This record gives sequence, C-alpha cells and structure tokens, in this order.
Amino acid sequence: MADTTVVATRRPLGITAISVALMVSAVALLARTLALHVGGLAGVGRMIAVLTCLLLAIGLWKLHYGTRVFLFFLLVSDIIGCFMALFLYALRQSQHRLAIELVVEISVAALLLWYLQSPGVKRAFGGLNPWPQTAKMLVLTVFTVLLAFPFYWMVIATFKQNIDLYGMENNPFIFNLSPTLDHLRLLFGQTRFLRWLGNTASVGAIVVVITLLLSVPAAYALARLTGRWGERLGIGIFLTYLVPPTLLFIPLSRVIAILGLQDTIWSLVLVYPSVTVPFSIWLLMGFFKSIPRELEDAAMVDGLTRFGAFIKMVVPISLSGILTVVIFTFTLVTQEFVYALTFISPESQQMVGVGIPIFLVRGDVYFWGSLMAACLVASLPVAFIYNLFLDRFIAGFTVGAVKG
Amino acid sequence: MAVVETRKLTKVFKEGELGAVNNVDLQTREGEFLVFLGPSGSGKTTLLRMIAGLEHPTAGEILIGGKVVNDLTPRERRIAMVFQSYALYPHLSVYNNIAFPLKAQNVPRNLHKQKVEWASSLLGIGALLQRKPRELSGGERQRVALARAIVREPEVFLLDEPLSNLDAKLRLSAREELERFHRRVGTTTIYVTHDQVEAMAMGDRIMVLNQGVVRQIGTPQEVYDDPADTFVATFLGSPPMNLVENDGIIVGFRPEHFRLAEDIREADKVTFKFRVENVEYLGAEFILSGVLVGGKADGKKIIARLLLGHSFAIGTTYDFAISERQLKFFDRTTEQKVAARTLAWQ
Amino acid sequence: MAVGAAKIKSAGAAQSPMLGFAMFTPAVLYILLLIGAPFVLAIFYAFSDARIGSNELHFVGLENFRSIMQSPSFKKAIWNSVIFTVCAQIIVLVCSNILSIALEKPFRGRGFVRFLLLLPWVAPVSLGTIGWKWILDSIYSVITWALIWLGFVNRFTPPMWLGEEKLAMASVILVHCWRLIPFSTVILLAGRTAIPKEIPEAAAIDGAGFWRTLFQINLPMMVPILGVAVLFGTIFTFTDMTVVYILTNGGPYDSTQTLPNLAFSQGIQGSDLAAGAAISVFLVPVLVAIAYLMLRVAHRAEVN
Repeated sequence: MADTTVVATRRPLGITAISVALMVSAVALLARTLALHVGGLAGVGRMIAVLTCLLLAIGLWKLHYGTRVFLFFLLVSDIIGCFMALFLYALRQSQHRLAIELVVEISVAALLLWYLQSPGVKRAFGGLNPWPQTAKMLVLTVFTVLLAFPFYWMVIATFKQNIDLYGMENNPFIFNLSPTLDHLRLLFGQTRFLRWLGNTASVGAIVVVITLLLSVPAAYALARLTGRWGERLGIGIFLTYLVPPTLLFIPLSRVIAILGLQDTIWSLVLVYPSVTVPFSIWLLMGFFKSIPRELEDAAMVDGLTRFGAFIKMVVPISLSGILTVVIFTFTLVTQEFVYALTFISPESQQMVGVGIPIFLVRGDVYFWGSLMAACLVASLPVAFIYNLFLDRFIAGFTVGAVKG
Repeated sequence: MAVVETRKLTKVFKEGELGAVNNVDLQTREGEFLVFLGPSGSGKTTLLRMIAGLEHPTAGEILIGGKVVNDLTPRERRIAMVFQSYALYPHLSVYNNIAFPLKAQNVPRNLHKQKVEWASSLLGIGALLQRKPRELSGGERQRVALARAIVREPEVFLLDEPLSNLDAKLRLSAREELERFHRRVGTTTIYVTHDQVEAMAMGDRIMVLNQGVVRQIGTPQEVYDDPADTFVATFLGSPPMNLVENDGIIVGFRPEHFRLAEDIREADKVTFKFRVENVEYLGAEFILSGVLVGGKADGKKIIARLLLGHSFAIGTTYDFAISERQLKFFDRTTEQKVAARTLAWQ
Repeated sequence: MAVGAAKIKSAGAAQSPMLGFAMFTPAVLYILLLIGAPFVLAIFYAFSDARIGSNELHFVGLENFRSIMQSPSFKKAIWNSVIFTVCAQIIVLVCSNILSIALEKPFRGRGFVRFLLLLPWVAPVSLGTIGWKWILDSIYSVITWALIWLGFVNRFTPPMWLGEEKLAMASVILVHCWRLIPFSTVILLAGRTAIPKEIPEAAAIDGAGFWRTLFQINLPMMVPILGVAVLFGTIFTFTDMTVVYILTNGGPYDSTQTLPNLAFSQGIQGSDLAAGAAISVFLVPVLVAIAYLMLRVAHRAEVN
C-alpha cells in the first residue's frame, strides 16, 4: 500500500507570530476582565472577544483553512468599518485623534491582509484563493443584518423599560437600564392578545380540515384519473391562486353580509379556503404524481377498489405532502390581513394579524413595547414552522420551471 | 503541445479519511493518448479534475509543459475538457457554444467565424451550427463538445467518460471517431473511463487506479499480459484472471490460456482435472465454469474460455492444462507481482 | 371481455370517470363560487351603484369609472402602484441574485443564516410591517438617532420617514423589498441549484471568469425561474395593501396611495362598494398579463 499521509507543510514564521500574539492578547484580555470584575453585557462582550482571539490563535497554529478566511473576513470588515467611521464620523466631527487612530488601524489591517495573501502563506493554507469566500461572508453578513434587523429591534423593544425606550439621549441599540418583562405582562394581562391567538388557532384548525377535505381528493383526481386534461385543469386552478384578495374583498364583503356572517370568525372560515385550496391542490398534484401508478394497481389487484387504494395506499404515502399543506394553510391563516380587516370589526373576534396592528394602537398612542412583544410572540413560531417546510412550498411556486 | 506531470499528487476530501487520490506520480508523453482506468470511486475523475484545475489538490504538484500550475485557474492552464454529460450550454446555438471559449479568452472577434468553421468542419458538424443542443442526437452532442474543446487549440485534452452516455452501437463508432480525431490533431490526451474495452482499444498507455492509488501504468498489452498486482489482474479481462493459491503464492492465469491438455503442444505445462459445472455458449466461444479436482487446488472454482470445436457435458471431468509461461505469480500478502517459479501442483 | 376490462383498468382514467368527477367537483365548485363568482361580481359592481347598507342595485354604465378617473387620488394610486412594483422588482432582483450566489454552496451554519434571512418572508406581513413602523417612527426612529449621532441630521428637524412624500414612498418600497428579497432568493436558489454543475465548470475551463459565467451562462439559463420570481414578486407588490395600509394608509396626501388601499378606503371605509370595485378592477389587466406569462413559463418548462 502506498502511504497516505499528507505531506506536512511548514508553518510560516509570520503565522506563528500572529498566532502567538493572538494567544497572548486573549490571555491578557481575560486577566484584565477578571481583575477589573467587569460584569453584565460588557463582560459578556469581553469574553466573546477572548474566545474569538483564542479560536483564531489555535486555528492559525493548526493552519486551518477556515480560520484564514474568517481572519480575512474580520480584517476586511474592520477596514470597511474604519473607513466608514473615518469619513462619516471622525472627519466630519473634527475628531483628529480618533481619525489618526483609525488610519493606523486601517494600515495595520491592510498590512496583515497583504501578508496573509502572500504566496508562502497561501501555500501553507492549501493554496486556495480566500477572496470568494470572504466576499460571500461579507454579503451574507450584510444581508442578514439588514433583513433580520426589524426582528432584532422587536426583541430589544420587548424587553426595554419605557424610560429607556423613549429616552432620546440613550443609545437605542443596547439596554441602558436593566431589561423588564412589563410589556409582556401588559400584553398577556390587559389586552385581548390571547383571545386573538385563540381565534387564529381555531380558524386555522377548521380551515386546515376544509382545505384537506377539498384539495386532497381533487389533487388526486387531477393527477391520476383525468390524465392530460387534468393537468390543464390543474394549471387553471393554480392560476386562480394568483387572483388576490384585494380584488375579491369588495364583492365578498357583500356576500358575507347577506349570509349574516360579518363580524364572526365564520366569515373567515368560509373565505380562507378559497386562498388555500388552489395552491394546496397544485402542491399535492406534484406529490401524487411522484407515487408510482403500479402501487395502486398492485393494491387493486390485491382486492381494493380504486377509492380504497387511494385512502389506504396513496394517502399514507403522501403524508409528508399532506403535512406540507397543513403547514401552508395554517401559516397562511396567520398571515392573511385583508379579509380579516374587511369582514371583522369587533376587537374580541379579531385574528392576531389584524388585532395587533389595529387594536394595540389606540388612537395616536402607541404602546411600542407590548406591540413589539406581540409581533415577536406571534411571528416567530409561524416563521419557524414555515421555514421548515419552505423548500416544498418553493417547489410549488416554481411551476415546473425548475427540473432536476 | 505539452506534457502533463504530477508529483505526489494527493486529494483528501475529509480530514482523517482515506484520500480520494494518494501520492500519484505520472508523466504523459508528448502527444500520447493516456487512459485512466479504474472502477467507480477509484479517484480517476478526481485526478482529472485536479489536472483541469476544478479541484484543488491537498498536497503535491501538477505540471503542464514543465510549469507548476497548482495555483493557476483552469483558464490559465490552456487545457480543454469534455465532460461526461458534454455540458453544452443549453441556451446557446452550436455556433455560440463553439465560439464561447474564443470569446472568453478574448480571441479577436474577426477570427471567431474562421476558427469555428475550422473546428466544426473537422468534426463534420458544419450543418448543425444554428441548432440548439437539445435538438441534437447524442453523437452530435459529443462532436459539438469536441469542437468546443479543440477550437482554442489547447495543449492538453481531458476527456471524462465521454462515451458513457451513448448507446452501445453508437459508442463503437464514436470510439473510432475519437481515435481518428486524436491521430489527426495529435494533442496530448487524457481519457478517463471505467470501461476496459475502451481503455484497451484506445489507449497508447493505460494507468490503472484503485482507491486513489496507481496500480500500474503501461501499454494495453503490458497491463493485460503482465499485471502488476492481483487487482489489475482481475480488473482487466472478461472473464477475469483465475487466481489459485499454491504454496503461499497466488498463481494467476487467463481463462483463454486454460485449455484442453491435448491442445497444448508445449512440454512444460501444468495439467489439471477440471469438472465442468456450467457451459455458456456465446456464439464464437464457450465460457466454461467448473472446479479443479484433486491436487493442491482441489475444489477451486475456475473459468475457462474456449473456441468452438469441442463439446462439453456438464458434470464431466476433463483433462485441462496451462502452459507454464502463461502463469503469473503474486505475493500472498502484498498481492504484488513476483518472479516466476516452478511449483508442485499434485 | 376479461382482456378488455384489463385494458381499461390500465388506462386508469377511463376506468372510473364518475369517481374522478366526484373527487374534484367539490373543490372546483368551491373555487368557482368563492373566486369565480366574486370575480364576476367585482366587475359587475364596477358598473353599478352598490353601497354598503343599501340593497338596491342599479346599472350605471361607466359612471363609476368616469368619477374615479377624475379623482386625483386614483391617478396617484395607479402611478404609485406601478412605481412601487417596478422599483421593488428591480432592487429585489439584484439583491436576491447576489444572495442566492452567496448561499448556493453549503457551509457550516447555513440553516441558521437561512432562517434569519427568511424571517421577513415567513413571518406575518402585518407584524413585520409594524416592526418597520417603529423603526421609522417620527420621534424614536433608530435611523434618525444614528443620523443625528453621525451629525448628518439636525435633531430639531429630523426626517419624517413616513410623513414626507418622497421619504414615505422610499419607505414603502424599502419594506416591500425587505419582504420580497427572501422569497425571491429561495426561488432563485432553486433555479441555481438546478443548473448541472458541469456547466459552470465547463465555462471555467473555457476561460470564462466570474462575471462572464454569471451573465452569459447562469443568468440566461435561469430565465424561466427569474420570470417566476418576478411574476410572483409583481403580484405580491402590485396587489398588496397590508404594507401601505399599516405604514402610511396612503398618506401623506395620497403620496403612497395604491390601488388596493384606495379600493379599501373607498369601498369599505367609505361604504361605496361600486367605486371600490371599479378601482380594484384596474388590477385585472396586470393579473391577466401575469397569468399569460406564467403559462408561457410553464409551457416552456414542459417543452424542455
């Protein structure tokens, strides 16, 4: 057998030096933090810094490729941050000392970057170009911060004391006073929030049942029994999904009024399936088509009727598809806004999606703390579940424009 | 034209695991057609992708034309590659597919037409230039892929199982066409395949790989007649070489050399009693499987390949023999080839 | 006879047409009653004088259209709907392309990053928009705070994000983008991963760099899926009323008014169903165009 050990590459001197320097600064920072008894958030921040330094030091020592990319990312972010601070803050406010410090920091970071991409170091870390990875990390960081920021902001507002929340002088990004649960208490104790959650849950449950009863047989029939013509009809049904509530809510409000369902959750129970059924049929058609026909044929040869084969073979096999429809329907019920706003006015009958923005806002007085708490409590679970099933919904959205 | 060389080339995908390619040393010859042959997972495609620059080696060096190219992008290596799936750009016409490398390498615009026409006439696809890839047959796609590879006049051709997507009939004619094509352009070519027939038919030399390790490099004849170890011995040839253990040595012989004793004229031959257990009639030949009876190798399963002209009855024992110079010897533990010797069989 | 029966059985469809009919009729009926009928009713209302609280209904011809055409709010709403949709789609397309490239290859922690990136899409719209309303608050806006701290803005005349015409429009577009980028990203990601990996590799060997591969190989191959992303994005922006209703309710001075929001405020809040219906009917041409394009995409996918 040929020996399979990888030829060991030598660690460049500079990398050893950087690694040791990082190690020393980690220890020094740790000692300082312990000696000065820094507690609270600042203490946590320092501990994170210590850990980062330690991990970087170890990673560099072991010539770990990911560490080099991470170091690249840190240095590039540092340079960008310094440039922004320099031009947006230091120079504009004539903070000359800070400006000089920033320039020095930029130079040091640039020097390190230059060293890290020199051929010797590159070879030691496996010779790969770190820039694409670094660019990716930067893009992802920027977008994650931008897209998730409102939710971070909800978390901050939920736990902030009012004096802190409405203090114009305070840095709004951090807790200037200790966090509080007052807003959550107000939300659950003195508003109809729980009632709204209950309404949403019951509407959701009933709509799920109706959607399944209507869409599962229809999807199966369209996928199997009516052949090619069924596919056309399937696309037709999918197109009805494109008809938005904002076109239909006016005539439907009249229909609801005639049926005497206005201001009750039953109006939503009646109308929501019209949003969920078309897309559910479309999703399920895909699932049913992927089940081999032979399976049903075998079941029928074994003595089941076609309907029996559908109930006893097809439905259990496509349970994951049915679960997808359940999740889709339920999250759609929590997300819908227009119908709930149009058909229901009393506070007690509201759904969360409308209740929070309309009824937690009393006139011009906004209880931002509890408002944000409500948004957070209501949206995170929905977001989490939806996220788990997202790939399947996407498969439905792509209308067959993506094929493996 | 250039020579491709690798030195201790290694690729480890997951740390701590066995490498996909381990310490491979190889050197092509000027203008040669070198075949990487091995079962799936033997690392042959990984090796090719490292040479192409699509995969970065964990250790070792790659040289093209005497220059280390480890850190060069595929573009800078001046190579061309034909993929198993041909990887034609589906949204571009055949003309634009072939012209794409020229555009990408900033060849002056006024030369494009002339070069595309040259490449397409070389492969006889001049009439297809306006079609889209999905309107072409498998064989036509292969020719377009070759035209796209040759149009930039590369120093090395890399071909990754280009025939495996064709049906059996087409494969034969495509193979001949590839050979003719190589003779005409004379560019150093590396060809990856798991099909030993392709390898034997096309290769100037064959490099046999298994588990990321080179087992043998040599001409088709060398590799077939003089396998370096038991893996090569059993991987090549269909049916594979028979291996029989005797006195701590593995002895191998090809099925076509195991014949009726009366047919072998040579004096130094080893004779066996062979009980036939199954007969497959393949038109031009028989494949007999059965067991040896008596002697040191009693009960050993053996396959023989014979031309027509005899008839065999299942369950009957015949006198078979092998000429001694057809016996190959392998060490029992290392499975490497060892020098020929005379063994007692009875 | 037995042979004939077996043949029919294997044909499947022909075997039990009644069963198939019974299985899909309820759903089709439901869709016809709750989407088809209201759709027709919406168009019918647009030509009538229907009002909330009165059961009388007269056909008034083009009267509704004449009166809404004359209202400045309506012109503004149509114009805004188009501007918001086009601007949002362009920004979303660029950003989601960048993001989908960054997300394509697996890396440690991708699941978590993806969850954070997807939050705007998977959380209920109205709640996310409320979050933005707090971020863009006239007094406590964090953006204003940061700008004051950096010295860009005077603390006595802070920008009113939702109170000044231009800023309000920009804010609405921003929130639409924020919401659509995740959706568009996952759609494009699906399209990107469907490209066989040999194709970009072949392009690399042919000498194409990052940009050439992106613009001449990957993006052209993703045209159908880009189409799907844009079509859905257009529907979600053009017909949306949640964002505008919560953020500005069309204000200030109709500067962010859109068709759906105007239809709601006239039709439901103003009790003039006919006018509301007439306004929302203007969504139909866009929907028809999108439905047509969507069919083209589906057809093209079928052919390939």
